[in-house]
Amino acid sequence: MQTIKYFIILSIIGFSFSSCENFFETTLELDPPPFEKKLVLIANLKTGSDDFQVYVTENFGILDDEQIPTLTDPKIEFTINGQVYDDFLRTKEDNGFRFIFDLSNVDIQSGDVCKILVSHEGFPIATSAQVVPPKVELTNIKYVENGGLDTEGSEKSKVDVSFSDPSGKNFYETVIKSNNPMSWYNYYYTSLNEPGASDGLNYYDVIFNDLAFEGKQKDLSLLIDRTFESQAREFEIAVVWRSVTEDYYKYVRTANVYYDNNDNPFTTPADVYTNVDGGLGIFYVINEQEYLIF
Amino acid sequence: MSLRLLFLMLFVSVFTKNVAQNSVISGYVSDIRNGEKIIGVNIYIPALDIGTVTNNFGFYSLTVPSAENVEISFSYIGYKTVTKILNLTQDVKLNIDIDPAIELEVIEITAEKSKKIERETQMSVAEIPIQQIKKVPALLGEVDVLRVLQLLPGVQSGGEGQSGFYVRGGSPDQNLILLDGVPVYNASHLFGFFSVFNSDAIKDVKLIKGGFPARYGGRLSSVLEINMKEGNNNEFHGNVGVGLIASKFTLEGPISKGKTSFLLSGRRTYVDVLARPFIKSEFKDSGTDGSTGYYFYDLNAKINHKFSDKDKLYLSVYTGQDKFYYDEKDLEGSIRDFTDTGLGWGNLTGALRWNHEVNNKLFANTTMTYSKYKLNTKVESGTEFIDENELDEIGLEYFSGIEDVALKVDFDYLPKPNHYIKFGISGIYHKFEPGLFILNQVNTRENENFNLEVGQKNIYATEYATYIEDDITLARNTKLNAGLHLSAFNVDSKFYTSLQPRLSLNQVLPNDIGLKASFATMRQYINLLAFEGIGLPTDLWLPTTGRIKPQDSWQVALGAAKSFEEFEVSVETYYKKMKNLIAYKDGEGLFDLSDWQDRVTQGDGDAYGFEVFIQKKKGRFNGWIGYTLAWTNRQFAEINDGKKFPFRYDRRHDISIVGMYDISKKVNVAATWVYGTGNATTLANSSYSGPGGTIQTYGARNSYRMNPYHRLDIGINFVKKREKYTRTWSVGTYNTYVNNNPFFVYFANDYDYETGESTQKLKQVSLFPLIPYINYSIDF
Repeated sequence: MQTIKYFIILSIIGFSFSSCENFFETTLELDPPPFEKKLVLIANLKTGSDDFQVYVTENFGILDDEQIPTLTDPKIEFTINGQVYDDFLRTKEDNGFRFIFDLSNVDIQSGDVCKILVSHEGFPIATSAQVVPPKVELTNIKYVENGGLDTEGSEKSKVDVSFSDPSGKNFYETVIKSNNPMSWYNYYYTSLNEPGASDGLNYYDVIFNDLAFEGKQKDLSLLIDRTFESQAREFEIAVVWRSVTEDYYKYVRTANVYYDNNDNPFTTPADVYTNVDGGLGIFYVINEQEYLIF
Repeated sequence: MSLRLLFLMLFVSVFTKNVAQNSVISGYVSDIRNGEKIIGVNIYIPALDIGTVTNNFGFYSLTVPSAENVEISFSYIGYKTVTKILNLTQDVKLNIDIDPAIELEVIEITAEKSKKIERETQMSVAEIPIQQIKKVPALLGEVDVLRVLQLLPGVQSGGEGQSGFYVRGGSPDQNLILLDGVPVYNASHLFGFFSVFNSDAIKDVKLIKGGFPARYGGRLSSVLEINMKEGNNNEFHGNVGVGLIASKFTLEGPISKGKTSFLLSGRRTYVDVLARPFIKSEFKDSGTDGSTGYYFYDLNAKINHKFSDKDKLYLSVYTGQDKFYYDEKDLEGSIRDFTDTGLGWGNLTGALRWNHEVNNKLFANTTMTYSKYKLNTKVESGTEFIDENELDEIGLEYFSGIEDVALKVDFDYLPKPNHYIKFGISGIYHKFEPGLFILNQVNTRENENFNLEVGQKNIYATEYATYIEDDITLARNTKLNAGLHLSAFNVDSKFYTSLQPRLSLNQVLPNDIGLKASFATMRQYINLLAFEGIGLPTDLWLPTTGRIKPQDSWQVALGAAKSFEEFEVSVETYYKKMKNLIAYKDGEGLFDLSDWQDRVTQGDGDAYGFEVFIQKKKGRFNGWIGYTLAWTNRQFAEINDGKKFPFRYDRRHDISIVGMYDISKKVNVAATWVYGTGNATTLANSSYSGPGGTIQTYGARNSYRMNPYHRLDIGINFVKKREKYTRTWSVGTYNTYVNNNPFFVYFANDYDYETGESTQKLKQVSLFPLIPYINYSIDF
């Protein structure tokens, strides 16, 4: 009995420690992890467009609640095949600067090498380069109402298209769009029953590569969850077809993984791809065509 | 010298007949108190300067030139040395019972020449007597074998309180954990805070970190052999222990004296039982009825029977289970809402062994084993309409696991004193269950019964291995252990094979410093797909497949060792290269129904370092100091832009100091102090506005270092011998100086209710500021 008494007394003493609130767990505040201040470029060059916009901002510490911009006078240099284009408008925005280049007299061709260099005092120089992807034409565009099935077996309308994939690695992004003036959005969620196809940068787009059909003729069925019979062709429906760069493809794929999992503690961290040397962000070039379906 | 020539020379030296007449002394060495066979006892003949050691079943054999009045000694740490004078004019069968030294003399035994660390061929090995393990202070007083192993150089803990271990830069799945020769796939309870091994049922523990002899295979980084006690052959004994979180018992004794004995040992936590009345009352206060809790238990059983001096049969079984449960019922009128949730996981292992002494030079051990690890998660909720006898219920269950059946035959052949040959063959049939979800929906009112199974098919594979090794005394001061291990794996109609050479060399210099070197290649066909950071029972054991290649490694180690009067000192340096390691791709993780092979990537790793181990085995004060300086890296084409990055458990400095002091026969104290560089982890460090919203940047993988880890534990044992039993009070503290050791770090949004503003902060969560413990046990 004496033994049991000792045990109970000592157990109570032991448990009394653990009965304190949060005894088994304490939380400390730590200094934020160190980081390097960098320039951020977001630049999208589209063939056939009259202008080209480069948005220049900066990154902030992960715990900086008040992100006070420090950029005052960023310098930019934009070249195509080594030729400098300095006809631009610079505007100050909330978090940075926007540079709008006038390309109305410039005919950008597949294979052109486009480079951006941005500098600012106190930041490493940020540079990025892109080669304009090849122009790839669609042929045999055909719409079939409820003519397709998605991977889960649900019925979808489909748009059959064909194209000839150039040799080498190529990357594509596509979406079905309407110009319905009554609709507040103009894109239909587009999917593909192709291995490796995934959502594009915009939710409605689908992006894929030519790994499985490199250099060959390819037939695709673009699927949309939509029928048009009642609209009786009152507005135009078109395929937006983009030949994109590998950097853009990597950016989209990693950004999708990032946005899908960023708040999930049970996934490994995913960094978003950047092709800006010395900085962050993305510079991409798109060779875009639009084909009317009806 | 080519490998082929070397093996030819070994073959010739083994099978060349000696001209002189020889005699063979063979037999078993047992503990006089309980008849337990003792592993690793030194048998030494000083006049001839030759010796051997007992194998895993206490068997020894020594072939010596015939002579009269030869002195032979049997010695083992913690036991009195037994010396016999023999006439070796013919073969002698000699079974020896050795007697433990009296307390306080326990470690005063003079180590024989052959046992000295500088004379052993095997390097990178650690054996800690179970009596010493039991003295080391433990978290909540639960003596834990794996946690003590973490105090050795080259062995690291995963994090605060965790019993998983990382050997020389390897992952936990690269440790082959054998309980009585059976692989144990999940060696932890309570998400890694306690190991499944009940110290009261364990006879001995041995960890090999490198220089693997050819008999071992199937894992890259370590082999941990844990052997259960056989059960007292002479008289009934037992032990009952009561601790803060668990109680345990052990019973052992003869069924037929000298022939058949048994051991039964069990442990169960009882926090759920103690808390049940309070939890019931909480549910009642909230107007419902229900229960919730967590427990784990272990049960070890072993029975062995001696058919004759030459044949012995052992049957050992282990089962252990963790279970979390929550169920709640809410009755309103004749309508009852209910929820039933459970998370359970556990191991079941069994081994049937037949020891057969073929002749006085050849010993055979045939083992049939079964091992199963299973995780089962269940969530059910619904409504019962009692008056109408109707039910609307939805349930989701998740299963995963691994199951093995194996057969192996091992031989020990001792043709000459300078050769100890081991060879054998094994086959394992694996069944992998990579995860299956079962959704079940029943609505009797609507006459609906929906059942959906989503998941991945079971994978079946067979693994084969054969080996031969020879521990050779080339000269008085030169020993070599050479061997070959051949393994094969058949899965998905694909047949993988691997030939793995193993070599260990020991050269004793004139000043009695042993120089050691080893080289070992290893192959691993099964992988643990684990989420880095927390050891969850949901981690999946998965095989090499047609798409996933087997893991390979090679390791080279160099070292030196020397025994002093009271100390042993060893230093080792190693380099290990690993190939085809498995990891989740960026952004992938748990709880995904897609094919696991699409979510993983394979890459390489390397580990190198320097280890120092100073151990004092004699005297009232004993213990050890271990220090490791190490680097461990990983490189995957699809992670971190293909650049090399530090492994999460890359720990530059790791120090352990363990001291035990016998104040008197009745009181002994022990203390441990550990220090380790903080774990590497990946944290977002900056953010910017991207086209789709804010994007955080992480920098390089595992580029953030958590705070260093250090802790002091102190324990005191009060032992009192009564007429019929010995009772022990154990008290102590874990993390005595209350250091806030990092468990994990995270970003938190602190919301200020007064200003309505939220601020993001980086926080570190620490567990166990100071944990006192008390245990009471009786040995009878």
